[in-house]
Amino acid sequence: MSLVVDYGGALLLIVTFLSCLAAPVPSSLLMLTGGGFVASGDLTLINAASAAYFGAILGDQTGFQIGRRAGPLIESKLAKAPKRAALQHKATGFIEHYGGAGVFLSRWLFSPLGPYVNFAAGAAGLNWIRFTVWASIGESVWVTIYIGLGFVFADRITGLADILSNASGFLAAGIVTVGLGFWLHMAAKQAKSRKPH
Amino acid sequence: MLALWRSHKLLLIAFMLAAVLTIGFGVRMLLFSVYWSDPDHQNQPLESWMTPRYVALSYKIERDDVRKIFGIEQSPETRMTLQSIAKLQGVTLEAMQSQLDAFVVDRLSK
Repeated sequence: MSLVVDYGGALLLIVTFLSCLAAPVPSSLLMLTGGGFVASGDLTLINAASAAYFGAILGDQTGFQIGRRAGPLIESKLAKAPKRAALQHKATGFIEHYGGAGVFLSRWLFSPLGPYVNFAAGAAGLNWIRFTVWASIGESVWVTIYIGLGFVFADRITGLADILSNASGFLAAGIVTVGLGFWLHMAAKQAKSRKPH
Repeated sequence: MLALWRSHKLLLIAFMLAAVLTIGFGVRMLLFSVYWSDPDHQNQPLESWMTPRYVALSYKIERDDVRKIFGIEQSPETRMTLQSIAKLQGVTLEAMQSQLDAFVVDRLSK
């Protein structure tokens, strides 16, 4: 983390870029630290915020493009197994419908899911403009929250980082639990309606 | 329930795994919140990546005092990390921590 002071903006840019591609880098922690260093005067806000933001934008776009290239390949493989193809069709429909909100919320509220949403959205053929608009707005929220919190709670970043990392894990796991639970519920309903009376 | 287990085994397992993770993260989040809200824990232990300015902010001490404690009043370098200061002066982080703690205790007793 001493690298943040020495290489400030450049480091933030690289790390946020990688985090949008599912690389296990502590981007949120570094952004909090960046905010703290803005408070202590070791970094400028412009430097920190714009570097983090552009790294994230670039990372999202890259992930989306990777998904887009891989999409047709995956689809052709799945088409061979009818059950999986049906599942994939459902997923695509879901993404089409909730795409914007999903991209937006996975930038900051459910951030651990972000990179996977990038790949899935690209693969599902989500409209690029729609993706970019929601990703850009969402990333600005993310950068503002983390650098902002780092700034406000600069005197206790270590603690804040601990709390926030668990909070974001909680939210991401939580929404997945809700989604899977809903899916189970639908499956149970279907099974019930199919039972002969 | 049993019928679900038979027909959607994978889904059920995934759901339970996700639920366990959710609870786990939630509990950790609460535990850390309690730990860090204790004012005793808010003078962050010194770490190598911090700068003197940052230490001043965290311990709520004047920057000049911090520079005095760490013996870097003469240094023009403003963005040094504690790691480089320690290396420069041949001291350990623990030694710097004790010096800082001594200052804080001394100040509180006044």
